[in-house]
Amino acid sequence: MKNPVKFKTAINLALQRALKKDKDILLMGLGVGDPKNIFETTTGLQEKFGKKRVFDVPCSENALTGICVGYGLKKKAILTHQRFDFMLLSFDQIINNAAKIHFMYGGNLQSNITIRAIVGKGWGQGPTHSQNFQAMLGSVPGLKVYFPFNSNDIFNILYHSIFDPNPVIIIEHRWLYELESKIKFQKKIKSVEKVSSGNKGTIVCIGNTVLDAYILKKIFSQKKIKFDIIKILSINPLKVDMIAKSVKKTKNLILLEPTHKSMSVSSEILARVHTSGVLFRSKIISNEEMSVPTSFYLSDKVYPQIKKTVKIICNFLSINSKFDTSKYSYKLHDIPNKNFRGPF
Amino acid sequence: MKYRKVLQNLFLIRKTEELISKEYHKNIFRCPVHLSIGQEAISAAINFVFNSKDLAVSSHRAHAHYIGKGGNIKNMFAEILGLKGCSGGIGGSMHLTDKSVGFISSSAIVGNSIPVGVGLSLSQKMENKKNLTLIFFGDGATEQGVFFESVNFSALKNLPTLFICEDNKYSVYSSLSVRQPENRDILKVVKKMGIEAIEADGNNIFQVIKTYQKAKKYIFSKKKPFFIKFNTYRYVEHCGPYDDDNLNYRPKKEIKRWKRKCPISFFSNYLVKKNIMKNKQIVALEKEIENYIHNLYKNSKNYPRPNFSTTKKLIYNEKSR
Ligand SMILES: Cc1ncc(C[n+]2csc(CCOP(=O)(O)OP(=O)(O)O)c2C)c(N)n1
Ligand SMILES: [Mg+2]
Repeated sequence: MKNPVKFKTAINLALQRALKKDKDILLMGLGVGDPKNIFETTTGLQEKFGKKRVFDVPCSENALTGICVGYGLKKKAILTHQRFDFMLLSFDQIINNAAKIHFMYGGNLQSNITIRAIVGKGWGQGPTHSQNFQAMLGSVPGLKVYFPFNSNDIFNILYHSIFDPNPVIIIEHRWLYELESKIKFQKKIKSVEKVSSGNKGTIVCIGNTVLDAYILKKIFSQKKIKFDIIKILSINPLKVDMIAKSVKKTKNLILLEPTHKSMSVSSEILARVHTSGVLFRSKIISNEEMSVPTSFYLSDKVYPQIKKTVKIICNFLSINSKFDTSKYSYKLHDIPNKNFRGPF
Repeated sequence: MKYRKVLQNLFLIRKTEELISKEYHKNIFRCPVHLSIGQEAISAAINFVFNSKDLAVSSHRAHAHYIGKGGNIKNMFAEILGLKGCSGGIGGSMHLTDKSVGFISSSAIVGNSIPVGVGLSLSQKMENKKNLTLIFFGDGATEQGVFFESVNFSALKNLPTLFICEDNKYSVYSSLSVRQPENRDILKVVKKMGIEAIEADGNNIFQVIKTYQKAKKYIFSKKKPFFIKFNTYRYVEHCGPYDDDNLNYRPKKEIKRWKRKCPISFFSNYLVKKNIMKNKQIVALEKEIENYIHNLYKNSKNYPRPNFSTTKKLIYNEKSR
């Protein structure tokens, strides 16, 4: 097998590995088995494992989630949504059933269900195709919520989630699908990972903002400024020990939030690190407090653009903000790169 | 029947959608578009039966319903261009509105606007006037629980709701065969829930108009909701401007059969055969509408870009009551 692999290929490989291991696993979702196969993540699986196990479904998100919960009481189910926004229809089943089934029945029941939810961005996805309520999910007891960044993250998180007896939601960002990295089977999922070291500050990033953190690393290396960069993989449960330890050293905490600031994962991290007794300064960099408008002339102001982010960080650290960001700023903010033609 | 006006309406929709399709490759419409090419008759007939006090809501595929209801086309172009159009550039192609003609809203979430339409008809019932609400949705939307819940409520409260399902046989690339049991008959289902339901050829505008008239008469005489299923077919890809028949998710024969049933050629042929209009006149009208649409489009490009800070002020309605 060729390694490194793309994020979307890593999904496919994890699904294959799981479907092969347990013949009772079902994989379903709108578009599974269609010519585009959920942005090529389920390609070939129906051919390999049959239509009884890998299949397309009616437009019935809420019922299907409940159906997966029921199937998951006996066996294992994987459900996919091409947008996080479509999963909103099924919050009753997720929260009132899946998340508390083990608890509510005194530990006598468990439902083995894994839900993939893809977050959209760009090309006018607009107010109802670009949402990510990760913090809302993070507040639900009994639910596990992951937001993987690279191919290795998704490969291991997805595979192990399928066999986790708890309900798991995996948030995937559409703009990470074409990125390549090496995958290696791990025995366990990491919930948080330090990906770079430095003393100037601690940068905490999640999912798609990990990409921003790597870009910031490159930009700040122009003046040999280094950060501790900590990648959050598990939003629920959320662990902040590693962050607290780093902040104790750096005294500066910068949080790159993938959504907006209010009631966010970043503000939660901030509060928890604060109550751990460490003294530090902090800055959250996030979307504007609003739904994302469709217009190209508005959306650039909702998402933090890299040039502005650098400025904010320099201000925060009281350092000169002369950095060359040109390589990382596209004129067209609504596409991941100039060769990308969709689908979004 | 105002034949010329009917043909004009058909062309208005077709030419608008074709223009978007032709211009899309220039990357100036920077948002998803779901075109109604092939499904025009259902929308072109609206204004021959209903008036601007009758309300309408629609789905992600809403351009045709918006235009058919008399919505301002320039405002719609501007909206899709990301300018300050009918929804301030915030909603885009999938969230259109023109209150002045009763086109209330369209939604990008499948099934999402169906109960909203029922709520509008509830408000109409409270007003005790002779108006109704048209709810446009696809075959896929009838798989959502909210569809059945809405039908149930409308039947329970005897609301002036007209449910209009455009059955184009597909939800994205998925055929009915992977989504519904073979003999599921939505007409029988809603009938058993207490709503009168009929099926009609959505590509034959005579049938569409007749069906609307029948529905309207029923809704006001019986004071009950009505359900129509129009059989139709989409000619271009689900989302986007191009033909995607190379993907082979629809049988070639089926595509061919439906393209032969083009709602516009059907109506044009009828006019020629019955000597109502000459082919030359039809071609001239088509050209005239094409130019008209092109001009609207050109003018829509002069709309201002939406301003961020005023846009942000719209999150809450700060107007005092
Ligand atoms: C709740 C929800 N699920 C899935 C989608 C993705 N989606 C957008 S349009 C569409 C197809 C719906 O088919 P249908 O109702 O028949 O309408 P058509 O596109 O054929 O006009 C789907 C599945 C969505 N927008 N909302
Ligand atoms: Mg359809």
